[in-house]
Amino acid sequence: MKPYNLFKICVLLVTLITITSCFEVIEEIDLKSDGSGTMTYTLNLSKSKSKIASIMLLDSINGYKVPSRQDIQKGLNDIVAELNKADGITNVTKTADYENFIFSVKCNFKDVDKINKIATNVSNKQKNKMVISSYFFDKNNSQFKRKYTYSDQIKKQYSKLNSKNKKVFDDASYTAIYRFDKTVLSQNNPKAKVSKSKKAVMQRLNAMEIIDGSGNLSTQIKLSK
Amino acid sequence: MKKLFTAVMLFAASIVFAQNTITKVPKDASIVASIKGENLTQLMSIEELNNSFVMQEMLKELSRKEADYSSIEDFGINIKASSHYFFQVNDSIMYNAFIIPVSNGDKFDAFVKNTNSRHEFVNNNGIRSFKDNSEGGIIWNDNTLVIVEGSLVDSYFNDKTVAKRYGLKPDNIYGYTDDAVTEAIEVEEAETVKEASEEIYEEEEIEETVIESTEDNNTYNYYDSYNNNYDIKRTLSKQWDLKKAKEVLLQIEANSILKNKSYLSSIDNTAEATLWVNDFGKIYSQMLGSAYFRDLAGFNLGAMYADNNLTAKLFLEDDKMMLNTKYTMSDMMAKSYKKMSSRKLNKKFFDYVNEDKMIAYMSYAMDTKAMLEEYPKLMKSIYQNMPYYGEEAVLAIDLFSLLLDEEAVAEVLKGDMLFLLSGISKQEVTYTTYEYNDDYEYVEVEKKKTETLPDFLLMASSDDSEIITKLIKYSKNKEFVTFNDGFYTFKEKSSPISLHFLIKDDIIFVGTSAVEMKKIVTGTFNAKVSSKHKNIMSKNNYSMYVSAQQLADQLPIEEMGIDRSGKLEWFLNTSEDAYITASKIKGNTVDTNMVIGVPSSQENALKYIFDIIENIAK
Repeated sequence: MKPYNLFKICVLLVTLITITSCFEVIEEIDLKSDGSGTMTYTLNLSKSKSKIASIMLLDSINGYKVPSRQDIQKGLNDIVAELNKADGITNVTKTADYENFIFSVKCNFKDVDKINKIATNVSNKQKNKMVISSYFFDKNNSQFKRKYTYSDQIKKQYSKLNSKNKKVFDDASYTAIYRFDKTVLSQNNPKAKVSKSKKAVMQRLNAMEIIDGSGNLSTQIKLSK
Repeated sequence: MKKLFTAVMLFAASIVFAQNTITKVPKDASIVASIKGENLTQLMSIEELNNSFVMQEMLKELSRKEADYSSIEDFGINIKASSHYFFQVNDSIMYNAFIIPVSNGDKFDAFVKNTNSRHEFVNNNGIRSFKDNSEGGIIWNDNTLVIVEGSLVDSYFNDKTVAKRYGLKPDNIYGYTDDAVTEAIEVEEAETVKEASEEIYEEEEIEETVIESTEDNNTYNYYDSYNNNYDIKRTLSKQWDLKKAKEVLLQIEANSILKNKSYLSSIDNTAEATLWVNDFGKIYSQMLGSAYFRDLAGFNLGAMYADNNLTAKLFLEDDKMMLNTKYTMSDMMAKSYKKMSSRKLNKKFFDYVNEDKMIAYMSYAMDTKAMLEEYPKLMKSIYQNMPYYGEEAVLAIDLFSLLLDEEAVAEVLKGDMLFLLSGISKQEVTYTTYEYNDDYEYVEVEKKKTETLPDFLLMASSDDSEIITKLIKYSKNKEFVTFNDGFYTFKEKSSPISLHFLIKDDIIFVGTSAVEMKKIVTGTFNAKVSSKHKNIMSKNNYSMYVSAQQLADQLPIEEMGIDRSGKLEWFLNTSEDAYITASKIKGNTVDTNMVIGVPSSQENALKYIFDIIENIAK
């Protein structure tokens, strides 16, 4: 048996054996009363870092090509470049931790509508339009609204995966956090929570709720004036 | 037609016992395969066979409105006799032929009528064949069914005189008849056919007079010519197939393979299936001789593959199934091979194997020095006759040999090694997650979780570890590795697996379990090896072993979540051990064995196979 094949088999064995993959996605919006703010997107894969470290040693797995570290770096750089081009978006930064596999992108926005424009651009480029969120901030009434539209495209794409690949999403979660400089008076999403300090709202969904549409991230938050 | 073919093939896989159909295999066949052995129907009675899942499905498939088959015997095939396949080649055609014994000609006639009503067959003095030769080489009588499928050798038919003899038009549009270009043209034809035919149609509209002489005209209807040639060849092939089939059916023992000494020595009546392949060299040269790329044929494979032979046998027994292959090589290769495989596996390896935990292993014993010396020699003999580059290739190989200090390399890595999957253990790993404060701002926190990881251990003999020690020291200085508890550890930051290594007793150890390494260092390794494994590893040049039981016990299948149907778990729990060995060379022959154990809950290997198929298919 060639040494490389033996090596590959060992790595595959490791990836098979190490337990379920799980990852967290965290979306944060820090909103000021003038409508500007910061948005951060974080992908935390550290719970699956053993599995990922092993996978990174292979060329492909389960039919998908494994990205190299350079591929990931390039991907992040591309995202940053796109954001830099966007109107009303400034101070774009990224972080990448290749030991724990945590990646994040952060940017400042002039107003929340600028984010919507980016989301629409990204969505238009995709073949299948998946989930779309749009954000609105009514300065005058101090109301922040997030509209979340579920498209069953995401369910269709998921069902096309084989059981091994589906498993990747078993223990994955999506957390949305909104922070304000004014107090939260009310919010209308039953699954979301308002912080003790009343300055933030958080909602956490697991991946399956997003995929099958049972989770809803829509929210309307009323802030003090 | 396909159904008939398939059905017959399926039968061939469940047929036994000598009806001496072997006398129909011609003496000069190059490859002969037989399904035989008095055991198959002894392993599984006809009734059991009929009731098996596999047979039930097949009978269902083949049963139709006109006929309902309930037993394998309904088809008229004799399942208590041997079936054979042979391959025979000459310069114009390659034959693949099947010989299947018939028990009842009428029943078989009825079966054919039911499955292949489109083509009628006629009966001439007991010999049935299809009308108008529509099915080529398929004929049968009350005793035997013969199927011959031939492939014409294209290069033979590209020769001008041959082509003329059979009325083949030279299929080219540029007027070239050079053989070497034929291949290039055939590739182009796929692309230019469309263009050419479009051109032609235009031409024909304008000029009604069709040009008689077809040889030098560029606007000749190339597509038609190609089609025509194809038809001619196809008819010819069918004719020859039928002729061959008749020859086979009526062949006498005096002309059969039983007069071939090499074949005779391969006969084994206790095997359920056998395969015999005659001299590769001959087959190779016959086939390469017809290659378009003559450069390839410039390789001198003569010395490498002279006088060789391959025999394979399949044994299905009560407690195991075994596939045994014997490869006999040329004197030249045998000499080299003997030198290369002269090394014995280091017995000290056994001090570090615990078979109570071990899941699988792979052992390998070759002599590095001999390999580095012999390999270039072999390469030289192959490449020296290569056109264009032969001289340069030999020079390069000589230079390489000169620069390489075989002895020094061999001191570092003697050439024998043992690789173990010694177990599966739990390890603690940390991961990062978040804790939120009252403002839902988060901080990163580290948490721990346990993961199961396989433990690997690799051992290799070494006499001179100096250079490796230097490498290790260098890595340590550069802080790639750390030294703890008596061994070195290399840890890729993002990987959960640490690689530990150490050199002791002239053995290089590389492993993933720190616990094991510690035991090796302190000499407290709890070794346990039975003579079974010692023999497997030390008496063979190469061996591989898997313990299904250990795998079933230690693999966290539920956690892995890959076995949603329970089939994998069933399979592992019912399976026994399996191993592969490649023996040391004896004379000019190397024996390889693949053995798969049959669980005691199964009566024999054949029933076990049927059971596996049934469980996986359901």
